[in-house]
Order: sequence, then C-alpha cells, then structure tokens
Amino acid sequence: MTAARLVIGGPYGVGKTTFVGAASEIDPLRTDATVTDASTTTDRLLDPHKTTTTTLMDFGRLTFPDQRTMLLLYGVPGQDRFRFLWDHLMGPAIGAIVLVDTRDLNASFGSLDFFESSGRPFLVAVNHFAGSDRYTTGEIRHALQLPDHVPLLECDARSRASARDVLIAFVHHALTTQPATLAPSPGRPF
Amino acid sequence: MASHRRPWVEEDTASLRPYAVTRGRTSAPHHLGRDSIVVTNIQVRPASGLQPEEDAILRLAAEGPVPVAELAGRLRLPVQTVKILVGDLLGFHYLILAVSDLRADTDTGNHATLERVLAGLRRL
Repeated sequence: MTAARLVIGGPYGVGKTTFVGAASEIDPLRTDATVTDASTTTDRLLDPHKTTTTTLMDFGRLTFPDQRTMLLLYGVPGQDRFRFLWDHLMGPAIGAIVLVDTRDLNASFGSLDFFESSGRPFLVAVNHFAGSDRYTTGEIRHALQLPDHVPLLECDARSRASARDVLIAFVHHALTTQPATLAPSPGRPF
Repeated sequence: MASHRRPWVEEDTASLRPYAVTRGRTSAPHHLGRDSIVVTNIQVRPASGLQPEEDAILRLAAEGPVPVAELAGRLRLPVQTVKILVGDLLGFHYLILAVSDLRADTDTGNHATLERVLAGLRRL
C-alpha cells in the first residue's frame, strides 16, 4: 500500500475546512500538528531543551482500494504566523492546493509566496462564495501576479465533484512538472 | 469511568493526560509518522487488559487501513501519543503496518504514486 500527502493552504476563512470536508470520504477531523524546535512560542513542559508548538489542522482522506493507495489531505491554518508549520508539513507532501477568495486577494499573497518558494507543485483554486464578484481567470491571475506555470481554476469548495476536479487538476500538474526520475527536493527538511 | 464521557476539550491535549496513556513515554518509534497507515491483524487475538485507547485503535483499524493522523483525530489524542500506542500494538502484532511513513526524499514526486492517485480520483 502507498500513501500521498496533499496540503490544502490559503488564507484564514477561505474555505479550507469546507474543501477538505467535500473532498474527503470521511467526515473531516481535527488533528494536532506539533512541531518541535520551531522558533515560535515555547512550551517547556516536557523537555526543557526543546521548544514545541501545537496547533490543530483539518484532516481528511480518500482511499482507492483498487490502487492500494490513500490520499491524505491536511488543511493547514492560514495565518502567516503558521509558516513554520506549512514548511514542516510540506516535507513529504506531493504538493499543495492554495485556495483564494476574490473578495480579499491581498490575503493570499503570504500563502502564494510560501508555496512558490517551496519548489513543490501547487495550483490555485478560486473558491466562489455567494455574492463574490466574478472575474475572469486572466484578471485573477494578473491580480495575484501568478506565473503562467501555476495552474489557476475556479471551484466550489462545498461540492464534492468540484473538489474532485481540483484534485485531478493538481495531480495532472504534479505529473507534468516533476521529472520522472526523482530529483532530491530542494533543501526542505521534514 | 465518568471522565470518559466528558466531552473532550482542547485543554486536555495540552495537559499531561496523553502521557499517562503512554505510561510516561514521550518518544515514538522513528519509522512511524502522522501518515503511517495501520490495519488490525485479524489473525492475532488481543490479550485482555488493554487500555481503552488501545482497544479503540484496534476497533478503528479493523474497519480498514487507517492513518495515524486519523486515529489521533478520532481519539482526540496528540499524534505523538497515538504513535507510541501504535508502536506498542505493532510490537504485539495486533496491528499490521501498511505504510511506514512518508519521506521527503522518496515520496514527494513519485510518479507511480501520483498515477495511482489519478486513476483512483478518476473512478470516483
């Protein structure tokens, strides 16, 4: 059996929990992300020599029995102060889906900068909220200053079919951008 | 047993209770991670006297392969605690390890895995 980890990122309130719930075959769960020796707030309770930070993230999964494979989805907290956690989670991840909301594109820049610099495949999915203005993908790409090689598509994070389409688009992208013979990842410690 | 019926609150994970479950141990086997997947070994009948958390893991993993992160979410225990318990249950052969852990150097751009995921998604 094999497994693959996919990170769902994007700013606070953009619909990451909703997306994980729509994509997952189980009701989404909250699971802790505990990072030791992160350079943030400290918890010296268990080991005075280590700093530990704990937060919660969304977890969901899809099992493909015929393929003997499981896709593990982690929706990570969106605030920029959790960058150390994104870094930690991207270690063995196949890449990321970054959700954006056209009502507040500025809030997306922190996430986009991070995932672009991660060197891993990612795509941008515009989550459409009721009452949000419709822009063309060209307009959104321009506003986000998104390079041409990063796919951009629209989605409805509440919809299972839409979430599935985003996942398929991501895997397509990952297959076309990564060399078939595996190159070591560019210095991303787990 | 009244404490088991109390709704879980976040403060519980920050307390020492998770380490009471592990009898004070804080380090887990190195090959286990949040993405490790286990399944209950139906050929070995567990001895009685397991902790409630260990029983719960065996029940959940009897339904099919289940990742450590999911066990932690369902049991409302820290991933680290679940890794320690899963390590014990693997040692007793009550659990079978289906996926050890994902590694940054081998699992990030593995085309075979990506192809499997794609094939699976297309059949949904």
